[in-house]
Amino acid sequence: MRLSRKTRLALRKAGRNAVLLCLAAIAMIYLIGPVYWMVSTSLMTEKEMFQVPPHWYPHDPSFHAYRAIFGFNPELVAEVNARGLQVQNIMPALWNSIKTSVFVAFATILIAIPAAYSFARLRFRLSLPLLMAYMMLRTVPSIVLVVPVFMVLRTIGLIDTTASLVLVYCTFTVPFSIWLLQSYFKTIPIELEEAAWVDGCGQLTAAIRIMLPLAVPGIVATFILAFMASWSEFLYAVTFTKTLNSQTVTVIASSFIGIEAARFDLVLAAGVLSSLPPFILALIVQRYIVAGFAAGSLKG
Amino acid sequence: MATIEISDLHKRYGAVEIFRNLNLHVQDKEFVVLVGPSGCGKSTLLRMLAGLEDVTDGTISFDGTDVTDLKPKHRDVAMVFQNYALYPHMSVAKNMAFGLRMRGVTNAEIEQRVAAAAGVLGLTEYLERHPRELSGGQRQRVAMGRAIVRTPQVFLFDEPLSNLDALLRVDMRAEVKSLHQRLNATFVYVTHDQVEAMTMADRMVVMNNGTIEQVGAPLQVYDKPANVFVASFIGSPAMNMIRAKPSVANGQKVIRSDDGLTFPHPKNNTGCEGGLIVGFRPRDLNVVDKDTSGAIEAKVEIVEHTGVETLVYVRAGSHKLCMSIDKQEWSGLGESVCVLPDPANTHYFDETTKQRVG
Amino acid sequence: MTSVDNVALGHDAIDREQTRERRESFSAFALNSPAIIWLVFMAVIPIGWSFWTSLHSMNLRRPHRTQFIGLDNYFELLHAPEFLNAIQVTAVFAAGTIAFSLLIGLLLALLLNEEFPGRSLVRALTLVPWAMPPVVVGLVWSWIYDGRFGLLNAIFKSFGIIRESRAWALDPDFAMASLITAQVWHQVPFVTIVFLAALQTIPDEFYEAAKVDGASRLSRFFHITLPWLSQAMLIVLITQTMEALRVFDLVFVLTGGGPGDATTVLGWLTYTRSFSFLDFGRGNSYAFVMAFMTLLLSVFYIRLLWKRGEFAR
Repeated sequence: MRLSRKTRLALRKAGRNAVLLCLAAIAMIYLIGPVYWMVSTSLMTEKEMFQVPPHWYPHDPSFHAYRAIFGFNPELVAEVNARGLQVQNIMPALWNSIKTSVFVAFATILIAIPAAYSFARLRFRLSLPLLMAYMMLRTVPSIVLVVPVFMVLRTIGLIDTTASLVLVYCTFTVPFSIWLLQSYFKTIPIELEEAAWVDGCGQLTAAIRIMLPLAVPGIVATFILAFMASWSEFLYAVTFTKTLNSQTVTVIASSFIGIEAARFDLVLAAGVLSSLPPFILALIVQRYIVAGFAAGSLKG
Repeated sequence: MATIEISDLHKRYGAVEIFRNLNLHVQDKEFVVLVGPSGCGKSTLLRMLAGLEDVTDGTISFDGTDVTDLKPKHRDVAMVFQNYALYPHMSVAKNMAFGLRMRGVTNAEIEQRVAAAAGVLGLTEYLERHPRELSGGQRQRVAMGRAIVRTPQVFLFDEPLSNLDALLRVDMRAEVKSLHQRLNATFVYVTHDQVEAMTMADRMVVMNNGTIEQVGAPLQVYDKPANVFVASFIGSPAMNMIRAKPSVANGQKVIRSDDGLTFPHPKNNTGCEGGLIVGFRPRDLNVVDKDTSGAIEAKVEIVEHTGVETLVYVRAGSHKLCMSIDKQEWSGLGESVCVLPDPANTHYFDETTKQRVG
Repeated sequence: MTSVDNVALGHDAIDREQTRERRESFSAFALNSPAIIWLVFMAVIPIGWSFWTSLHSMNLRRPHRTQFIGLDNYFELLHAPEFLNAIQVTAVFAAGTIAFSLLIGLLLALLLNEEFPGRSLVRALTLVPWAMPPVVVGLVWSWIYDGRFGLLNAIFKSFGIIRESRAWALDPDFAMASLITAQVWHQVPFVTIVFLAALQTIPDEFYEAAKVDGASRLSRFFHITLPWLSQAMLIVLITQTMEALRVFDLVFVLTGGGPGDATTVLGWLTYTRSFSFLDFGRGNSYAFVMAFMTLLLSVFYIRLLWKRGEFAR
């Protein structure tokens, strides 16, 4: 049977799509599978979690793990802690994380905006070396700074405070934020500010009334990325914090894993809670993340 | 009242010299057009008038007041940018009001002035829109509106029409011109388009490579180009140019090119000892009878119809000449014709100095 | 700037240029000063101090015995088995993660570069592993690797690959592979996006011209796509090496550097030296070796970005 040209083309396209969709499905299983497994386990009862072979989805979904880590089920927490675990209420840690990350994000953009402006709009001899210096600082591994900064913080008595984390995190968020913002500022045509100068603005007024409003998307994206970076941070958090006074959610989540035994329903419920804000934020700033990656200017 | 006096102006970026020793006087209420190829420094000059570029040396004064080192906001100028530079986050009304607001004009007056300007430009129904919701022509109007509400002494235009399509450009050309008559202010207008310059200017300033080549009324520049550059830059299609030397033929002083084309000697004899460049516009080249004295024999190579006129490209000796005649069918491809430049409109330039000699 | 030109232009000209330059430099410095002050106090001085410390023998357990020993800590490194082991472990870890994240990332990018229904959703979801805090990545994978109820055991058993369950992350033979697998999963989104961005800049005309020339799909890939990606590959190579040097959270949660020192990467060694053994002098010299390696990499990296025009105004 001879098919018409149109049918042949349609069939070929359908076949192509089918193949691509199969490949995409495999990719999704690889990328999302572990996340699915985390969510699914956090909703399983203890009995179901230890099924062999495992259940692929919670047959009897329960929020007991979330109730437990939010402190609504002290009996369960006491019971698992009696078996050598250190499960505790995650609320204060979540609050610490939010506090830390919001402070970091605000401090970061406040420091980074003026610096970024200087690279985008002023001509000065040290412009390039300074920008490169920021770039280099961005690549310094956190571990290099952990000991010396620890000594500094101990000297000024800031160990185990949110302030200490804010101080340290900005060291890493500021350089990449300057980088991102200056490249965003450069995309805003300078003619707009020139028009404002002719219209009677000084340089500062023009920057505030014309450039900043136009840079809002870039500033929001930078804010979110700084927030995400400090939310996810672990090394400093685990080194500089000792109590729920300042411990962040990543530290608490990791502490749920015992040496001998682990209640992965509780651990992964904490994992889900720690991942949720970055997931949502990542989807919001997706476009900027992609642009930032492409410029090689983001923390990987 | 607003005269502009530019004296001994220099501009350099680092080691790159944009221009030196530029002098220009613009009279009150004059419409001056700076025209020249890209990179000639015309936009830089305009931006220096606005205060957007630093002056390396020299002075600029408005009405006798030295403004050389004044910031843009302290000069009473308005500028229309090439890409309009409308504030994307403000409505049309806010865009037009911004300059007034920055200068502390009262709200009532702002409203009244914006409404008036919008009326003049036909923007009344678009006042609440944002720039992105407007067409190119409307944006262009808003940019002009933003300038005129301020009623400054000096209006600066940086190629404001170059982003419009050809038809709209012709309309806007007339509109800018009538705006000038209505506003009674000094206009300085930059363009690379010689037609725009010719049609709009009271006086045009032809620039090239950072120097002013000629200043004059459009027809004066067209009829008496001061040098080879102006001759070739103004007028389309471009003027025919032939290198030639004084010589004698049949006992008469003539000008002769290497390949034997001869032209009458310029009337005033000065400076004709060395090489010359003979120029005549395509419009001034005519088909003549074979036995007309001075007729040049040529072969028709290409015929182009533009609609209004017909362009005939002929080869004479080693030169390719362009001749513009009234619209007509021309079938004589490859045939020989005799052509003769109109002696009254033949231009002579010194080969070394490139300056006009007759 | 004392060329003849300037003399000819007179004093005004020179003054203006200098004033402007001075003014702009001053504003720029003022605008950068919060960042500079912050970074000097929180990064530059600590790094300097850290280097200074690394020139001393200093142990917080014996604070009075601190003394200057020059580069001895560094010379000792060359004979310290723990350091040499960490170098080797880090190299294996880096090579493993780079190889697999490069391969998987490239394949994914090629897939996402094709048009198919739902592509934008797939592309958005690709970011998910990247957005996950590394600690949580460690937690999830340690559950997958779990010795009794882990998913990996169940899957391998159902395919008949293994008979006995195994605690993968704690198994001497598989700990490194487990660590690499988790790191690759976390890094693949970054690699994919970098490749995808590069792929999307390939002009269609290249492929069309090659098609007209009769190049097969495979030769188009090898002669157009791959060469075009070389710069992206270099970026991936450098950033992934930095990531490998940086890795800490995953090791902390998944293997704790063990079993034995099978997964004791440089970062982990530095950390345990400093905070478990309180041997800050030694810890700092490890940190410095890392800093130095990163510095070298970042010089290459910045050069690369420079060539791509990322610094352009």
